[in-house]
Amino acid sequence: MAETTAAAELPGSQPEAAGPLDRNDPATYPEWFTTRKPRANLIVARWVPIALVGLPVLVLFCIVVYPTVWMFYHALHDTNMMRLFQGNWNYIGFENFATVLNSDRFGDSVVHLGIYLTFGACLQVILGSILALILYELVKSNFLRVVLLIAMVLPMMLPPSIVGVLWKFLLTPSNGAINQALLNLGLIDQHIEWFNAGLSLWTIIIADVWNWTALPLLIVYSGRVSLPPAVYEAARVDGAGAWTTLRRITLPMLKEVIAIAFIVRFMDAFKFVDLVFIMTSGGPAQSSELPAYIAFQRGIREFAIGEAAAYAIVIFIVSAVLITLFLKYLKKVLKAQGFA
Amino acid sequence: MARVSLKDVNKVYRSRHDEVHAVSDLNLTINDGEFVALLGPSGCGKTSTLRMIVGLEDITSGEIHFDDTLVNKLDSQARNVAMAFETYALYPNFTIEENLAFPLEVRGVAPAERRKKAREIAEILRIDDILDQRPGALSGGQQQRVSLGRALIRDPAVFILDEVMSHIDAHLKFQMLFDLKAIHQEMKKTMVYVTHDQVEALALADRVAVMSHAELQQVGTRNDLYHTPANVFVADFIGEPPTNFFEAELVSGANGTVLKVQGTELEILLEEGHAQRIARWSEKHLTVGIRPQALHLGGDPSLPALEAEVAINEYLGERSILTMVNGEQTFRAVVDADTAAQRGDKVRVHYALDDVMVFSGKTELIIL
Repeated sequence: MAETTAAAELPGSQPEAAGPLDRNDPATYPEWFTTRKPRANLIVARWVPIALVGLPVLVLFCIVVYPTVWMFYHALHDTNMMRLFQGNWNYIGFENFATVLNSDRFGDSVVHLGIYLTFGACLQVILGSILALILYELVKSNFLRVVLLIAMVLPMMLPPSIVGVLWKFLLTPSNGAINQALLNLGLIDQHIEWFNAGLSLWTIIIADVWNWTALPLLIVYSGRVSLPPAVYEAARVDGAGAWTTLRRITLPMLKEVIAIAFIVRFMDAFKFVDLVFIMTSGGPAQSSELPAYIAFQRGIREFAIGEAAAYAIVIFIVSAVLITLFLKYLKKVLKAQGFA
Repeated sequence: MARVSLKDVNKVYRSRHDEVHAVSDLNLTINDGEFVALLGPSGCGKTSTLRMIVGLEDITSGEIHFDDTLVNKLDSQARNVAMAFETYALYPNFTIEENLAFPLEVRGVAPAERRKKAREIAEILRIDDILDQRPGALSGGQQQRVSLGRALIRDPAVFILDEVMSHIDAHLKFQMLFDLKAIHQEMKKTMVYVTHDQVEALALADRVAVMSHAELQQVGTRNDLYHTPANVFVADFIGEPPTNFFEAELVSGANGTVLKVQGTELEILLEEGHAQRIARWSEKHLTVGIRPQALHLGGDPSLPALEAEVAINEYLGERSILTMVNGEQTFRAVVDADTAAQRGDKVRVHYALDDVMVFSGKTELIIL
């Protein structure tokens, strides 16, 4: 109260001044305001925003931008580990890329990747979606639902090294648990050679499906949970049966969510190294190699850094193109529904 | 089209820790082609009742019949009901035309026929210009029309509307009320309309069922509800502004038998016959209700009057509401907009003897 009285007594705010108060005129402010000492304000100090934004940017620059630029640079040079330490590398243009794209090893690995995408990543999303919808629509007890959800998510929580070793043990041809079980059940009459040239890629896919199906399951399940219940009541009242509801309402509404599950698994597929390394090391005879594994093999184990960088860039470009196309599609879908 | 009858219907929601009795012993018959509104404050059980009629909610006990068929165990599809939802519940991935035609699509109607019917309905509801759009792009009013259209497109036994106007602005609401009334008059469908807004209920319905605290309080036409409310709740809930209530005691004095209002000097007179009837009533403490519209400022001087001091004069355009105080009692009267009464003025408001409603103080039921 006292402040407002003080303001009224200041000359600038006298009635004859008429019109709005001049905010720039110090005379219009009360005395307590004009005479107070400015205090350091942490929130608006000039260096605070710079520090808050700058530090993360600096960190990101060190761990993302610098290595990326470094990679692009060395993809165009004949760098290997020896030359790197000697500081002696030469510009060779796109020779590394030519090597990569012309090598049979890369061609084979692309075929392997295709198989892995179709029967690994796609299968995981389809299987995960089916499991998620079964879990939501058919399991009515809340408790049972949570228990099943946790049980199905458990494999995803294991580190890849454990998953690899686990499946390697389970699938060991001579005395592995799975072969033994199949034999005892009479389904096969001799051991399956899980890790021979014909099967090794499929063996990795089996372990990977076991490991990662829970991710699309979680994505689709959470998508289904967030669909408005009133729409389902409307469908019931309108007379739609379970199958029609699934085909005409649930799946179209989950379209984007399932697409996101696909893109997440596809992105992982392009950089899929861990299980390959642990279970087969790409063998036998490079029959289970994927592009990212070759990049790792060439760069880290065979010291051909320039070539490995070229591999990485090719993978990067292909996945970037795919993701851009996907995002365009997603935007189109959302726009058609009037959301964006 | 069908007659819907509810017999001793109960709904109890059970959770691990407690039990909520949402609807208790409800008996109600909705005649073929009738428009009935379920009116009540939030949480009174009206939506639970409606969801039981539709078949979205199990019936804890009691029977619901459509004509002579017991429908307790039938699902919504078999009951052949159509419903418009408070939240519209349109299918977001369908165009408006697909939304409208979905009930027909499910029933296997040919595409050309579906198209034709969807266009007919859209024309009635004036949404024929947005048939290719999707629900996300529409305003609330348009979405509500689509939701109505989706329910109207087939020929259901009962047509059910759940708070359909609650998200629509006042201006559009009047238009929609008019449209809905016209649709009902044209189609002669059995309709049940749930609302918490008495204006909507009284404007639309042939009969209004008032609910409170899980129980049906009264069913009747707007005249029944307004002039002979069954109890204090209905008298209070129906009418705007709400009825004035006076806690009164029956005393015999110089003016004959009168109701003396507690905590004030006010005395409310009664018709001769009524006074005798009440005198025979065992209770002495009664609740008296007089509607603000029944109190007239400067009315016929031969009529009895209440004296009070004006506390507030609310100007509402075509009328004013006077809030008056006498002792501990506050009450309101609807008066002419040009009334000059100001705070502190002493005024007399007259009332007719037959506008006095008397309720039991204990059971709150009407006595006369």
